[in-house]
Amino acid sequence: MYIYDQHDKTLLSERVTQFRSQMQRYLDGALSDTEFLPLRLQNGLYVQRLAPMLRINIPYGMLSSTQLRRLAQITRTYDKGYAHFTTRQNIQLNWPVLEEVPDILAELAEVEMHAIQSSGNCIRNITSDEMAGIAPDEIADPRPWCEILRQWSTLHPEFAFLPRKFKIAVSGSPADQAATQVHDIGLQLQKDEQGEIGFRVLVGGGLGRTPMIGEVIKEFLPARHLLTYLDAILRVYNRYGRRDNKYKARIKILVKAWTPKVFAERVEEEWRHAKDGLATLTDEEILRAAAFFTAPNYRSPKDPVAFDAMPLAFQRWRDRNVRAHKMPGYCAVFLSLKPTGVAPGDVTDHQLEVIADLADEYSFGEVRITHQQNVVLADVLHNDLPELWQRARDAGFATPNIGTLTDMICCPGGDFCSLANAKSIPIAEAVQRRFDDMDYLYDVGDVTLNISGCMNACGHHHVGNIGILGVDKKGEEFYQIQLGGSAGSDAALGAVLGPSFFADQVPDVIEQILRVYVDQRIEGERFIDTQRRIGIAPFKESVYVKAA
Amino acid sequence: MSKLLDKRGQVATDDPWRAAGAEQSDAHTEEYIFLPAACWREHGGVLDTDVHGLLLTGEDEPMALATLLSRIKHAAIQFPVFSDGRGFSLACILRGQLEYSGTLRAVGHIIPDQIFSLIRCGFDTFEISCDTEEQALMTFIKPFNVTYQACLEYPEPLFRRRI
Ligand code: SF4
Repeated sequence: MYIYDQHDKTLLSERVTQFRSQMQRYLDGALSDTEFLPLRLQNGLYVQRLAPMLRINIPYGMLSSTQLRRLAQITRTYDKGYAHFTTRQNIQLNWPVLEEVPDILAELAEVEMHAIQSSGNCIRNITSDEMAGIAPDEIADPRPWCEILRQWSTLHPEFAFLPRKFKIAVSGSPADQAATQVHDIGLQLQKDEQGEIGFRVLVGGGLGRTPMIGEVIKEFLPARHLLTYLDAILRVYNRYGRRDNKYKARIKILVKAWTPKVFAERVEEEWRHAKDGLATLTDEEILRAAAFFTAPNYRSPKDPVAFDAMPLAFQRWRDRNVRAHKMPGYCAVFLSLKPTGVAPGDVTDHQLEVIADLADEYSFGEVRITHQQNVVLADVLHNDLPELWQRARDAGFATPNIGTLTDMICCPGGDFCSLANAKSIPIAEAVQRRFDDMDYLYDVGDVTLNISGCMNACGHHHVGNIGILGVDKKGEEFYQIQLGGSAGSDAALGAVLGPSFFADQVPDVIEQILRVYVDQRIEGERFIDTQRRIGIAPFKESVYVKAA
Repeated sequence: MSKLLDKRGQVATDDPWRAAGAEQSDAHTEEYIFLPAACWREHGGVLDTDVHGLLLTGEDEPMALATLLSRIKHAAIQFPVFSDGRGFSLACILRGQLEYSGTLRAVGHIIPDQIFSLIRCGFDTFEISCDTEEQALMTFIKPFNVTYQACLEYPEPLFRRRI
């Protein structure tokens, strides 16, 4: 994991001091609401429907056990004893007191954490793949690059007042777990024929009101040029992105208006001036960053234990919640934060501490947060699995549903968010209650279900195999269903099934959709593959005939 | 009431420079006027020798003003509202690509919290439209001793300076 030196520490403590004085000036009336707004947002502070909300960055999803314990303590001292993992690998506090936010930031700074640019019209937290550094098919570890980008983007003097928010994701393996195709900039690590590391650069992906898949503007950018090239993209966007309409202000609108080709040419022209300049990465810096993300002290594996005698529940859990690791004898274990009856991504202070303990005992003291809002213990000895399963079960983390229907992504929705058209958490819960039969879920297998409470799409409904969108019609809450989305390397946007439904119809509709899949699937076919093969019509027919 | 601040935190009281409104077509005849670039363009560039100061907005293309900028010693960039960040990029282009070395002023709506970034992008004076005490304004000049990126003060990014 990256460890702060005196430079990083100084910057962070100066940032806390700066924000404390901004807060004081606001409370004293020296800063107006409109002037304080971008300043507080650039520190992750929202004023929400019921209370302020503070979004804390988890750079590329990595947390140490020390940081987890500090977060637990912060939720106890300053909040109601729980927190929420987001779909961008961040963590949110839903009930902080405005005046205490500077103290929270000071506590975070002590464990090298911050909320810098976790919101606002600036470069947000850099996200990545939860399997970074351990995926068997990885081309290169994305984390050193994420850290280089974190530093480059932190308090960048030129890009603090962009037309709109700006999200960057980096992926290191072909499976693209980081959803790079739906980010403002997606960076896919590549190796050229000489073995040189570089990036395929995509721009203009994103969800929200106008969902779009990103376009490749550079097939291979040698890694040392990363910062100068991104400076060029950001500068073009900062100058020409629309500022007259916030719904048309994302970079995707500019890329579409100009065409990707013209956009790429403008970036190339801008880049010409900075290319090979002093912001070009040095070999020393690349090595320095990489040195923080070396493999932990893996033990040489003992003979693998056969788990044949273990109960079926364990086998199921191992099938769903354990992933292959590039190191023989090791595996990655997913702790599910999606048991029935809990809002997806919510954790209590006590659970945060249990995760810290499990990380210390089984996984070198580190965890990763996934954009599906679960937690990964990345370096677990295969032979420790039975013991870890027990411990995870006791803590409520062993629901064997990773990648299944009930492992859904869900935004905070109408219960917390002032922009919502409809509630989303109760929908998630109703679906979880309907599909609590593990045998059935297990049989249905891989399917992603994403729920957003409005068209801002924080729940990524466009890229769920099944997407649910809350809509408001004359003050009543309805839900539109979409099919066929995907966020991986085969990224696609879903298509609307038809007219929307009442909340209480949603579980029936999902059931009907799954029935069509189960009837029509060919041996071994995932939901999304069947859906793509047979199209949307059979689902539509079945759902609306039944509803009529 | 607005104040003019320099990058050492000093408030200037006797500065004669001011920005001309776009409608002031004869403004160029005055000596201490930042002439809007649009105004200069309308006159087909013939006014070159008369222009002493130039005012750029987010819409202007600095590359088209390169020759003029290489001759003049005073320029200003207009911020229509503090959350419009185009001026930061314009300043970087002026200083970096066009190697403009004259004075550069931020005018319009900016807030004290932006001064540090403005300095880093190449501005040296700022019109601040707030009633913050002069003493307090000093704290906005250098809130950070560490910055990751290259900027005017440190042409090398931190990774080339880290020890
Ligand atoms: S999708 Fe809408 S309702 Fe849900 S969190 Fe985002 S803005 Fe709020």
